[in-house]
Amino acid sequence: MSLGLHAKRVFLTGASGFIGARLAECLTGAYGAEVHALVRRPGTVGVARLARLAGVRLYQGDVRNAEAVARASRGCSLFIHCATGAPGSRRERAAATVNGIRTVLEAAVRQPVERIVYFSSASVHDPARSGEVIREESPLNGAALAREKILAERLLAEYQRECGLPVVVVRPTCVWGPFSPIWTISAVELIRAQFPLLPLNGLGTSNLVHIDNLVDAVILTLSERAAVGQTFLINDDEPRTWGDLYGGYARFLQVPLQFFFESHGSGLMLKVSLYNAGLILGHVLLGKSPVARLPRDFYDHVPMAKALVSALPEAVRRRLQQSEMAQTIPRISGPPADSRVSFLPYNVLPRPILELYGSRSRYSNEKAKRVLGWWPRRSFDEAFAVTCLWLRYAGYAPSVASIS
Amino acid sequence: MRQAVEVALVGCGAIAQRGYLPALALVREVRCRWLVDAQKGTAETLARRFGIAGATDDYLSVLDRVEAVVLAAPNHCHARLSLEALERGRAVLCEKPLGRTAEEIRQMVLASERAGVPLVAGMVFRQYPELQQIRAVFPWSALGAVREIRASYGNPLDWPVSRLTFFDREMAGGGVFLDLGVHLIDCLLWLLSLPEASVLEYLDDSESGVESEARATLAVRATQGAGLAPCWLEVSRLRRLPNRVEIFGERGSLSIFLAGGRVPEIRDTNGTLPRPVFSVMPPGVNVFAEQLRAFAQRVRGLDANCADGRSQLRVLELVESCYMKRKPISFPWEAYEPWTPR
Repeated sequence: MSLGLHAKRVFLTGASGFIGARLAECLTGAYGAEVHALVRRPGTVGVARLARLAGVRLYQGDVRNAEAVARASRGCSLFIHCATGAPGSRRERAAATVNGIRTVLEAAVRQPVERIVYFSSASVHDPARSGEVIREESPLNGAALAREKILAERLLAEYQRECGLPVVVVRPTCVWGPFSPIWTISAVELIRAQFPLLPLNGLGTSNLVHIDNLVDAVILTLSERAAVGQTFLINDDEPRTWGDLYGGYARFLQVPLQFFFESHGSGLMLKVSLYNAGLILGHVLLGKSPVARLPRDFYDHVPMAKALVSALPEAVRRRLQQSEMAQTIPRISGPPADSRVSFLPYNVLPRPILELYGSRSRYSNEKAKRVLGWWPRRSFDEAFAVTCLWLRYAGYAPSVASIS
Repeated sequence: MRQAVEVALVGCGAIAQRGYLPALALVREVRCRWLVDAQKGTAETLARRFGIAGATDDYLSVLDRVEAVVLAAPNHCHARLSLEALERGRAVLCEKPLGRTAEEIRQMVLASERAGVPLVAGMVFRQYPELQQIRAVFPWSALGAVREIRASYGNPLDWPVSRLTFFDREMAGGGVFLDLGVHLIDCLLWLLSLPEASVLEYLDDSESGVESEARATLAVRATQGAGLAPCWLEVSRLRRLPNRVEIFGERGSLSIFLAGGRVPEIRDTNGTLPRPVFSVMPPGVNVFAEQLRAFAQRVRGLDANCADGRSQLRVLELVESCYMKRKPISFPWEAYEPWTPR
């Protein structure tokens, strides 16, 4: 079934991200579409994945650059906007997200476009404050990370209203599977390093969507007329806990899974803040190597650490900031060749991640099923098996894949 | 002290900025007088930063003012820029792959031989002291007949390439097998002085673009008169591979680590193999600097550890043979069927 996508031209931003690259693989391979892929940094794994495909035309440029977007999107009737953020501070990232979608929408206004799919995030709903079941119409009360997505969604609605653009908003939950930087690669790295990881003994609800199930949903939004003007939460069917996912990874890796503090609510936050602050202080005082795994917005979410860091001498603070810039290095450089984890022996968890791990809320996928006719065709077990195959091939499993 | 070789560095992209420019600052035997780039502003900025006298976008005008060129331009420029330099009697150190095809390299080699000036490819593995030592003194006969060779080289791509030409089959000449495979093939041919190597099988993941994963199986003869042994090569831009060359013989094996800084490992069952004391690359040593020193020696007519043009002809012939036998690789996690309603 081609879903009418054969020979259609699809303009794809954020194409070198793990979601964008998989979308391009499926759109060109299974549906015969032609993908115009806009990439900001050419020298990445994502671009290497795209560059081998027959139906992909690569365009280099920033999504905020109107000329680059116009050049890459020319002749495309379908737009998928996966790009988000840019390097820099949180404010700069937010501005990039909103300006990026504005540039794409301006390009769409100037040509006949059948569909514009925007990748928002399920995190626009705060799982800690949104009740047991979260639906598309639940309050948009997401934490700092999601605010830029909420602003982008508003802008999209404005363009739909005023320019008649056929927009669709997709809000995926935690996307995992081969090449997933957070819920597969980082998760496995953290487990291999045997970091204390999950609060509540891993019993929080995970709300995962496998990459291929997400791709199915996005492709349906391109062809299903009823999708226009709608927002869809995309989440897999089977309720799973974080312990199911991380425990599964741990069993596959043959390492024990460490849990975090068992208390929850403000008590947990206080303990974690103290723990995080202690880690930083310990490393500074002991003169150890720079903090390697601080999330980019760590200081905004761990107030005690922020206060502690701001009280430090200038030279030490600069060192921490430098290390903050370096924190993505282990993730992008993959596993060490000798299968030993090389980064520092602790993990820092910011508040939104802890809330996510601790939440029992479930994101509903009922609307996507009803309107799009979508269902998650890869079960958790099947998705897990495929992901483990990839983990072994990519060298994240104990015995590095070798030639045979 | 011999006079420094005056060169122009051509191409101001990632490999120039990360490899050659910092190395040039360390090497007294080579003096960079000009930076050349199609983007003159880039050349000027880098020239200021690295204290180089001249910056220009006019390559031909610079050729009259230097003895040699270091080419760090995109692959599709290698042959043209080399020929222009060689025809004017200028020595060439060109980043790998020396050419996109064996035919390009053949023309470059002929031009070099006509002009009587060196043509050298940037093959940094040849500057690793442990590899040089193995090549010079390792008692291969102690391993017994070679039964099998395995070599891999790959990391998740994270390289600040400035343009998409890197991924254009026409302009780049190929994908990861050309980009990294030439390192492995050159290393094996040079290290073992293989008298014979042919392609049995080659697989990659390219649909029509450039491959990001490739596997080749060669049949190699390690020494004259010995039997053929399989040689497995694997390269990747998607994942980190073991990054080593392993040579398995009748009486033991030798593992050489391509990341540098690790002592080669010798394994045998009865502990009778000789175990030379290997020197490895000390931390902080710049292989590009070593390569520039070797090139300077070659320009001055001295014996030096360089990958000369003719050696690369054989490398590219093997790469081309692989591409001609290409079969697709498929991975189970890539399988995806079009959507069908329930």
